Amino acid sequence: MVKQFIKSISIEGFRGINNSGAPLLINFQINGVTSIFGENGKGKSSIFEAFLFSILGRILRFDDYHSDIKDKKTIKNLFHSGDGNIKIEFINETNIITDINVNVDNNGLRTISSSSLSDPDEFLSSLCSKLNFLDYRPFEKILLTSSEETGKLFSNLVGFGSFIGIKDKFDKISRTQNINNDFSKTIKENSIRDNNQKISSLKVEIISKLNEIGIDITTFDKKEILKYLKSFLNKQYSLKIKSIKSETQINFDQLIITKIGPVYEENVSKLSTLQEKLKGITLLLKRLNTFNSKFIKRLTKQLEAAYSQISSQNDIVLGKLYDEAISSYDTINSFDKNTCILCNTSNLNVGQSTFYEQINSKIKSYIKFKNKYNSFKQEFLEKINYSGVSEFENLYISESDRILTNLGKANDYLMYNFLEDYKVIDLLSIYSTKAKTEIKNKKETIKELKSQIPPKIADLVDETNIYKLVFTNINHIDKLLSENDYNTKYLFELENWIRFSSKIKDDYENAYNELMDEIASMIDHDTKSFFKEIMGDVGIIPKLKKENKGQKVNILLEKFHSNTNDMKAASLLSESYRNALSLSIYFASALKSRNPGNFIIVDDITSSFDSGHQLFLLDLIKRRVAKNSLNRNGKQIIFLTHDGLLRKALNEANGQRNWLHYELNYNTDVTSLRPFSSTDLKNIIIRKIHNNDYFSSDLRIYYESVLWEIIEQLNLEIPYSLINSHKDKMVNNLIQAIGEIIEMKKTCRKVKASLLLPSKADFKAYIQQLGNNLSHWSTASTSSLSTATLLHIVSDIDNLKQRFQYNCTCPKGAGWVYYRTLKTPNHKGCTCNI
Amino acid sequence: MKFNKNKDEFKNLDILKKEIKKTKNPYSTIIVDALFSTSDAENFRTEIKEKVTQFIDSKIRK
Repeated sequence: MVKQFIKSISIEGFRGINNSGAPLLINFQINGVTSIFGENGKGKSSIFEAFLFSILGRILRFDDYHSDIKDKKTIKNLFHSGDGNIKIEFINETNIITDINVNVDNNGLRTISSSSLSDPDEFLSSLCSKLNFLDYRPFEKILLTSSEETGKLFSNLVGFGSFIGIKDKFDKISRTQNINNDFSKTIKENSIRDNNQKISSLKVEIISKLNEIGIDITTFDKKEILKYLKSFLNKQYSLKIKSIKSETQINFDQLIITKIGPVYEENVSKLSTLQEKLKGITLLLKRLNTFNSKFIKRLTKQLEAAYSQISSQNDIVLGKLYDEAISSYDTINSFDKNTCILCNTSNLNVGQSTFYEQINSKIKSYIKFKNKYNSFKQEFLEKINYSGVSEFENLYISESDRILTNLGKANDYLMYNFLEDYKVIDLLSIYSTKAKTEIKNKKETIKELKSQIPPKIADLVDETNIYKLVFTNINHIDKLLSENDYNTKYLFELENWIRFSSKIKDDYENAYNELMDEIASMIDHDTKSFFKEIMGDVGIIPKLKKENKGQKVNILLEKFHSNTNDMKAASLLSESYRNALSLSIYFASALKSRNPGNFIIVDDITSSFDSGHQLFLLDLIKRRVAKNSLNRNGKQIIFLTHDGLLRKALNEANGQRNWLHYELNYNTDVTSLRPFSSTDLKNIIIRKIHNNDYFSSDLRIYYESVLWEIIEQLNLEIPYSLINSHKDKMVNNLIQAIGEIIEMKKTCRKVKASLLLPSKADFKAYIQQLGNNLSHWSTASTSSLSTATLLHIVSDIDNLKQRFQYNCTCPKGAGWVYYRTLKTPNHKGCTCNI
Repeated sequence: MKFNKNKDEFKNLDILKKEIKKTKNPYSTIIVDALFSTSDAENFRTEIKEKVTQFIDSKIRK
């Protein structure tokens, strides 16, 4: 794996960055930190999102947005004509540059191309994960989620994200329910069991039937039975069959007809029909018997319960009117007081209730009645069908006398005593008797028909039918055995698969756990150390604990002041401590990450910290997270912030080894980088003064930047607390401090005597003059300051600055430059006489 | 099976592949192919279901 770093990005027409024709170009520090400060609305988050959109193809915060508020058309800058464009240059460890060109159209669709790659999508998808990008939202997630999710995040953080996917895959195929569904395991097991039961009963039936015709066997022996069959067919029908296989077809019915001749054919056919009908009516009688007095009692109770809801039959009349009204006026969804003209007619009082209340109460009772009645009716109808009453009436009762069928079809409500009125119990008893008579008649007719067939022939028919059943059963047994054979082999093979896949799954999980265990213990060490660096030695020690099984990772505190029992970190820690711990885990993990993308881009991660802790965090990032000569496995850090507390520290860091800092400037649709040089800043401010679009803070910023520049360039030992102060008189205090340090250095003879540095009196004057101006700027409206006055103030600041500089006249012509130091002011190679 | 903490994800995935193939089990090819050709767990399950069922069926019918 070759590590990839971000060399530069160029953005035009994306999110808040319009920059039509003048793309915002940022070059990054490869080894170390590139910080970008941008006040709100200057395009800082657009830079962060440009990376996300280009590399991951999406803007992560959109993932959480509801579709109602998500609009991809806002991805491209709304005021930019044509497509938006982002160009990123990556550079790897061997200095090979890869370019990615991303176009974004009006609908927020991304198109990628590259002049150095044939498949830029593949490059990007294998480059890194969303965990290479950290904004204020996601980093706390690792702490505030389940230990399972923490474990997954953890795997992702250390660059083993696809291991989670593999675990999910193994889990998916090893779930018992999935195995059953996918491979029909239980179905096949049940089928084998059911088939065995069927085979047993088929065998019993064969033995019993053969016993009936005098073949004395007690166990099922297929060969022996087929011998009997062959011998029977040969003897009775002269049919010689050498061997009987599963596909052998024997038409027993045809054999009988051929043998007994056409004379008896009709009787045999009638007999067969009658036997079928007998079977039907016998079954019908059995079903009829379920419509018994017990069921009728239940039906009666149900009907009584329905009728108990209403006080008289008139309620049903009213209810039907209500039903009619509801169905006629589909706009009336309920019996609404406001829709009833009788509602407010309080003069129609009946007793204590209004007329409306009385009707409403009755309608409610009717609705309850109707619900209960419908349950009764449904059960009644189901019984009519299931018991075969309807079928019986259709077959044996004339149409006008089909009482129960007609009652079932009735549209009107059946009266509560209809079962008695229609004497349903008696009726069913009549039906039962009638069915029994039918059975008796049919049996007699069958007997009569059989008597017309000579006994020998009848016996032969019976015997042939028995062999027919035996033959059918044997075939059926063969089929079931064959099914069982297949299923048994299938289950055996399936067991092999299950055993193999679960072994691979177990091996994988053990190896994965072991790997994560090893990484967790390495990360635990760094996490503890990072947390301490950010928050100081406050008596809190975090601990990452990987559970023995599964991918769960618990984030605990092994020490919380005097408490040394493991406690759950998320519940105990306040926001800033939680954030410090999350960032510690994040950075510690990221350093172990094996993603090719060797960069971390962070956006506003310091908001919950006070200025002191912010500086500790910056220091941690610089020394231990960022790549530098002492931390060769560190990451390239791109640090975006809007935090004013950090601004000065970042400006301080600018130009230091492994640190590059930019500030964002925004003016009429153009976002640009604001360099720290006070001269550049002055040019911008002068332009703004002439264009009359300056802010009162602009001059103060320039004044501050000059003072910082003096301190930085001349290495003046000014306490950081003073530089980082936000008091009103901060600039006065700062310039006073500069004056004092110079006086002290003069006393210690660390200042070259010939330098034209400001004297004590000069400093006093600056404090008064510029201090007054400063107060004036902060209170005056901009209109009260003329261009000439403002330019004069700029000139005063420049005068102060020049007292710490000399005009280099060497051949190379450096111009006005700061003294190198107060003791040895000349820069290397400079021969000017100072 | 043992992964190497000093190697990246892709190299460790290679270890996984090799370890599965090393078993010389008839199902090892099916599982490796499906593991690395499917995008998510549900697709993997579908592929395994088809391939394993086919394999078992053809083995029984041989």
